[in-house]
Amino acid sequence: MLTSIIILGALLRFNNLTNNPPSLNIDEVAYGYSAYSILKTGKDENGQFMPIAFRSIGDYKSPVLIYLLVPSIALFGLNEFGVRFVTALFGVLSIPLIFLLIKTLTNDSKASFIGAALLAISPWHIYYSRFASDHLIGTFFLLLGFIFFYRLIQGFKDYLPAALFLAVSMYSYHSHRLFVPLFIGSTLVLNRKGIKPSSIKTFLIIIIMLILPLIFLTLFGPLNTRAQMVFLVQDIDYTRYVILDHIEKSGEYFLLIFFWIKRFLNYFQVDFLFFNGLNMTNSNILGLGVLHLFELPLLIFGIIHLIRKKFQFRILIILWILLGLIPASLTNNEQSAGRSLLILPALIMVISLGTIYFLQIIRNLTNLFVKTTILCLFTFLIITSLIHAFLVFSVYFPYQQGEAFMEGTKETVLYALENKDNYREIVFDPYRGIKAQNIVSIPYMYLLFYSKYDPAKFQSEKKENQDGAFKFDKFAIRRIDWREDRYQKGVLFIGSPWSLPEKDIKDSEILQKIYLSSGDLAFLIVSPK
Amino acid sequence: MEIVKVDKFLFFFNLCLISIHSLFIAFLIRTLYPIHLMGENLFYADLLAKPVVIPLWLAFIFSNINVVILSILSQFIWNKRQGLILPILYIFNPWSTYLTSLNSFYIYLTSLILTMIFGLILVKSDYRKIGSIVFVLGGVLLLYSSFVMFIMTPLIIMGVLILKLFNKNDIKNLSFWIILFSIPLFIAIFKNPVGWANIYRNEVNIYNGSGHLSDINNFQGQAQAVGFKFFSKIAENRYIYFVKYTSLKIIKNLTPSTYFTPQEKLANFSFSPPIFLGFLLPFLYGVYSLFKYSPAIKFFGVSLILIIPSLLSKQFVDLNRLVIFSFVIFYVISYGLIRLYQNKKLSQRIIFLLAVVLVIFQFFVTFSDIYLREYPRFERTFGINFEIR
Repeated sequence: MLTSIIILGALLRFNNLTNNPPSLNIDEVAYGYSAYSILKTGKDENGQFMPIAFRSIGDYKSPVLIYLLVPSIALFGLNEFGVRFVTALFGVLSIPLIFLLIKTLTNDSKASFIGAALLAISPWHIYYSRFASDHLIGTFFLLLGFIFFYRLIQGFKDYLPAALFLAVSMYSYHSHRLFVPLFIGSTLVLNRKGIKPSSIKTFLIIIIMLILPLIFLTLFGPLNTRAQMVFLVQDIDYTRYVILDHIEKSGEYFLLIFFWIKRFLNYFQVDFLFFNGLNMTNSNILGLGVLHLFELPLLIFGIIHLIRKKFQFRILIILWILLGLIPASLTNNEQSAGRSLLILPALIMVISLGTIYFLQIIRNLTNLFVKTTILCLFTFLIITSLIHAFLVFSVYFPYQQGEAFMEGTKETVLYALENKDNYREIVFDPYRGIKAQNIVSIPYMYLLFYSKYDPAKFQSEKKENQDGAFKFDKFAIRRIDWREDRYQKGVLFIGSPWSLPEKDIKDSEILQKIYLSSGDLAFLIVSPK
Repeated sequence: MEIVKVDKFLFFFNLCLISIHSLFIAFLIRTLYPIHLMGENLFYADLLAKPVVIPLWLAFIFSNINVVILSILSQFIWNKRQGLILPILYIFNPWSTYLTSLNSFYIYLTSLILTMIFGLILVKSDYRKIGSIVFVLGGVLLLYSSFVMFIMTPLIIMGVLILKLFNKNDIKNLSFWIILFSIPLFIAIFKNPVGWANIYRNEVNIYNGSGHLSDINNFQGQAQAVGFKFFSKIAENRYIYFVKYTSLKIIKNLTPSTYFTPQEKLANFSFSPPIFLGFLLPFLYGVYSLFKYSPAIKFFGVSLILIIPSLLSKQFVDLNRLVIFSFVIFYVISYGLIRLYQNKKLSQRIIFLLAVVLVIFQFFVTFSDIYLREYPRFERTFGINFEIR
């Protein structure tokens, strides 16, 4: 049975992997090229030898996914499948792990199978399995580490794997760096009576040794910059609406506390959980929450069951959910499904228990009419939820969210690479957007990626970075001002209709138009004549 | 008279509450003036095409009447000391004070609902005559005052009947009197069907949000284009859409963060939470205890009808309309606080203390924020149009 669930999970994660999401996003391209660079030279694209933090576009990337991508890219090449294979694979591997977790905690096979099935069809998990995402890799190692950590608390001598996997999860994603220490600390304090001090001491020594470089980088190195960049005080809603751009300094930090609590409680909002948490569509109601709608009653039953039945692991699950949301709520996003993904295993656990409890209640119902009605309604809810999820994944998401995944950039880059020799310079405007020019894409990364640009050459060659323009080889990444640029003969311009207004360009100068799946015009490729 | 017995302490206590409540309202009016909510016409007057709007001074009086009725009701429900908590909660939390200062129509409706409850309790305590008069007066005024209440009042009475909260015959008699006194209202409705339809359109906006149907059509069109027409007809038809939309609205109106954080903005711009966050834990404990120990859970069930006006509004949650439900939330918090205080367990004592400390802290933070930033915040949101719709 578990095998069938795993096969179902694999199908949902690997099917049409290269085309859905419709394009590689900026992070995926950056991960892919960094891994390619490591594969070819042992250094990242900036020339750093085997770094722990990868300097990337505007931030520092966690190392685990990039190193995991190296064998995948060696095997499948630097392409969409090579980049997405690892996360999809770890997504599938998480299914037997959740089975193992629930089995270890409850010793209940039914609940374990239900948990595995729920993870296999979880929209939250499938979504993050289908593109290169460090959130999912981090959650995978957290799950693995938690199983061993729980066994350690139970008296098994699993301190080495527990420390190792929890440390790897901290290296995998930023949220885990705060969550894991908080979780370990709170669990040890709350379970201090039942734990063998010697095992815990060894565990703590190993994990501290393993994360020392990370602590150093976070406190004194570049990761500190990242933390400051995404911290709550930078939130637009907070600065513009709450403290009104520092109109009055007094009491700002007190307001920050309440603003943070508001953000924390936002993660329990029903629209995030069941209606549109994944932001896969443009509609609030016809979106997809991080959980299926049919899981709502099961979650409620799970909470009731957890409170009533006083499971030994109850406090661990509650801590996992509450502490797991702290890192996400401390950052400058209203709600981030990625940063909060780490609580998914705990939620699946509660929902599995809820399902068992729900089935018990149904079984004990004596009134056949009531029993049948409830079962029919619930089956209808499951069917419509699953059909809706299927349509969102296969139709609406690629149609409506192409821009978020930089759809069209690949086509522009391939055109530029094909016609490179015909022009003295190729200019990319990094600003794009259908409704406004509000998205900054990083075309040079796509150029490096799709041309499989020699990393050794890129590391060593001179890159001009002047007046906001970035130049290498024949390529220039800068804003296009068509009033002046229209006179530059022999140059290829690639930009959105905002920077290359169609009405001001002769038809003969437009070489190609690139559209999104939704039919909106995304790019124009133009050469002045 | 047990309930309305003149107790010196309670008299002065209520006087103190009214003074403090008035002070808070005055502070807010001074800080926020001339910001105000758009006035709502009384239903009956609207039908007669003679608009009458409740003025600010009357809203101020009704808010203080609410304090007194809540104080009397809580004395009836709990003992002398415990009964002090409910009215204190009402005046110290920003919700009602804020809306009173902005001249909310729903403060007046809250008074009428509380009057009806007070009347029922008098009837139950063998003060039949005066109780009946109070109940019928409250009910009739409610029907005459608001279209939404015209729909809700029969629902509340039905709920009370179905759950057998009060004597069946008493309720039937009282309902008869309410219907009898409402005959002029029914005549006005029959005489002015166009006015009725207009009022309906103004008051009931539940599905008026932009693009509901176009959303469904767009999604179905996209699915149809790739050959999934059948699937989209099953999972994304208008019935399922509106069931989902309504469920989302109901759940959002019952989510704690709506009440205890500024998630939903008071008067569409404020950063003050309707109720201080410190009361969240006593509230949750109150809900838990109500389910576990109290027969009052039935009243709680019926009171959920009071969220209907908010459900009928265009927004997901309308805190202005939802203020008529506020006393129920305060009741649950009071119950939770009382249970926490009575409990001798250390953990629950700690929760109680934490709640008190957090509330005091947030009280000062919120009021200083209102003083320093609420007016500029309003200007940033609405500019210089001082009437909030």
